Amino acid sequence: MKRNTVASTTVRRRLIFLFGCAVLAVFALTLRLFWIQVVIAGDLRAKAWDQLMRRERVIAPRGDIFDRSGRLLAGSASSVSVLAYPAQITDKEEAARLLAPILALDEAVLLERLSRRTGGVYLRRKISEEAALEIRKLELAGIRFTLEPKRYYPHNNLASQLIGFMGLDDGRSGLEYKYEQELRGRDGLITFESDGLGRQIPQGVQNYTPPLDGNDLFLTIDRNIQFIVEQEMERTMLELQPKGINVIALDPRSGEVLAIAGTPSFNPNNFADYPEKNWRLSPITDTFEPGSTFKLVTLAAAIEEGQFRANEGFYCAGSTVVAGRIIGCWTRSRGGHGAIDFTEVVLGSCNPGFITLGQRITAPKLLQYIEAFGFGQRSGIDAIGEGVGILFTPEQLGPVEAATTTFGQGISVTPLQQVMAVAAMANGGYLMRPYVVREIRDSQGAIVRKNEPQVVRRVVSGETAREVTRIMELVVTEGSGINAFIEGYRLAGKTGTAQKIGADGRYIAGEYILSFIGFAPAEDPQVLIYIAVDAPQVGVQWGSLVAAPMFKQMMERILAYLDIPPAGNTENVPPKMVNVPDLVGLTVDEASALLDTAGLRIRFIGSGGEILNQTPKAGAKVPLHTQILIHLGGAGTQSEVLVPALTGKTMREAGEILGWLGLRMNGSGSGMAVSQDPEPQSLVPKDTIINVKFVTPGEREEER
Amino acid sequence: MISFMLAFALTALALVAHFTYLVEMNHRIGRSMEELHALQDEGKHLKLEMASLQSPERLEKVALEMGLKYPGQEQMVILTAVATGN
Repeated sequence: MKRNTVASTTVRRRLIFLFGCAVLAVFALTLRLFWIQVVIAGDLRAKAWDQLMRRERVIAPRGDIFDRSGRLLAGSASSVSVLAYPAQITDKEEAARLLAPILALDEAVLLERLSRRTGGVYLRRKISEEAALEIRKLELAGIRFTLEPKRYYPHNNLASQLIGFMGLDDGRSGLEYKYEQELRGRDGLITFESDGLGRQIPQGVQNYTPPLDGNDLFLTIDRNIQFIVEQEMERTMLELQPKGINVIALDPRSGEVLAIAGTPSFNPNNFADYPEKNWRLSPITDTFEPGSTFKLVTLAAAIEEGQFRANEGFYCAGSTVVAGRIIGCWTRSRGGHGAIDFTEVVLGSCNPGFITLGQRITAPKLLQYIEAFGFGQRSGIDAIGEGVGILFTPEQLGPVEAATTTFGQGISVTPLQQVMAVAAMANGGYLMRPYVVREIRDSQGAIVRKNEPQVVRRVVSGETAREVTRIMELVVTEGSGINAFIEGYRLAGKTGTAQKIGADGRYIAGEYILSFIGFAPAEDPQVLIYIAVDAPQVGVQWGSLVAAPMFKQMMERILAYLDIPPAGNTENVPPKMVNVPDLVGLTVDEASALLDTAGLRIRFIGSGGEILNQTPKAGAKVPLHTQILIHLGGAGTQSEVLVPALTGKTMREAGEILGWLGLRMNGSGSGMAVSQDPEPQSLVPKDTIINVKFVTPGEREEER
Repeated sequence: MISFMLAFALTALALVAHFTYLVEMNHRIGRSMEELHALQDEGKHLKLEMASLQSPERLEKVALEMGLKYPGQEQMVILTAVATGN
């Protein structure tokens, strides 16, 4: 048999061939390995790095804003922002349709965003909890949520003009804007290896620059004093419907602002719902002709120059002539104050008297004092938008101009300037720089910056300041400031009733700015309050009847809150008793005058020209400064009563008033009265039940 | 020889177990950090809520609803403290 063998040489050749191929293969692989590991290693590593590493901003938490006692006024916490990943959304129209009402966006706008070719797109940032919940319920694919910090203002309108508000990312107004740098802090950066889902790979490489937390602001404002002030302003807005009110409460010794507010105001949590003019801090931005409260400046200058003698006689004929022009006194219609002394010139706010004082000081000197008191310049307060006001220049200051300046007409000032000037009289003669930020602290509580009281300059001597204070005390106990009187305390004050300038440069008939400025305790001033009410639509327009009572309400509560005790021992001194005069049948003006002289205070119920009723009754013996309620209106028999207007009254007051008239109350809600049934001026039998609805100011704002 | 291999195997096991433990711990740290941030944020929300609940406007409303009243002038008595020397 023949054996089938392959020739050994063929086998060997094949083996060598195979071996050659193997060697080639290994060689090729080695080359490839070399190529990957060495040649393009750098590139590959870079690409891997790119894919692995994520860089994220670490948002620095924004600093908070606190009042002087550390109560939170503005703080940041997370809120939901809605993201869409268009690639993952199959039915874009449907998604847009469902989301539009919840996000309050146009369907078309949403559709456009959902159709973009980017990875992720914001639909709406920082939405409310409720909206987020609703969207979650929809369970739409491609819709994700991310958390972003949002600014919250837990006290709503309280001090909103001062604090300001934030837009989406930065402060837009007020202290939030002015102190943006301090509050914002500095964002950090984190670079880390991430897996496919974006989570950090533990023990992977990472680089971390920590964020620098924003600093906290501690204000000079006291939340409770701010509340007392704003509440009283709200009440007056409701009751008298003025165009606006400005109030500043200050510690005259240091220049610290305890409360500052202007109405109408706004809620910073939804600032866009309010007109822009509500956002500005009107007590420092608004300029106006101050009127009689400015007379204190003339008085101080006169005393400092030795031109004022308290007992010197003066005759007011109702008007005086300056350089051929007749300038009237407010008592013109009744023939002037008559023969008085210079103390009564101040107490009775006599214009000709002040013109005389101004002439004695001489116009240029008076202007010097006015500027020394800080008018015509910024006070330097650490808030934005401060106004400067307008004074006459020395060239413009003719005799007539100087004359009107002495009683605060013809010049324009800001409420803040007026406050700082009188503060100088309260604190012994020093013009202080007002401030609202007490301290800036970092997130650990360490003090970064502290503001101390700062004296701008000395304006008048201590004796002058004391003399001005003494006279201001008399204004409250005997003069036009009588409605500001608080039992047991020594107060110093001055009323003002200023004509308003219209856009055409002429005085508007029948529109006034009613003001009162005062401080307490007079023997050791700790709180100074200035109130300016712009043109109330209801009621009489006298500073003594509008602003002075507001001052009393505010100051009473503030003094009690600050634990400032009354002066001296009032328990053993029996209050001075006076007879209540008969007012029925008199006009309002006649009644006001009578009560003023008797040392009693007025409160009106209802409206009308004639006095129908009074409580307490004529002939009753009451303590000095008791408030007499006067019932105005038309005719009515004894068994029937005219229903009073209760709008703006608190539950307590409404009940009191109705009780005195023999009516009963059924009140619902709380706060201030906004509606009643039966309506005011209806004639009802006694014992009728009046239904009154009360709301708190917060609720009332929402209703608008 | 066998004992050497045994020792080697055991050491290897121990090392792997150790590393597994480390990875597990790292994951836990990561989750705890997330939890910490969430709690801190909740704390912030609660502080804000507390501030709003303590707001004077609300306190007054609740007090009046509860029947509390503002004191009248006659109800307030002023006490003067007398220093007793020293």
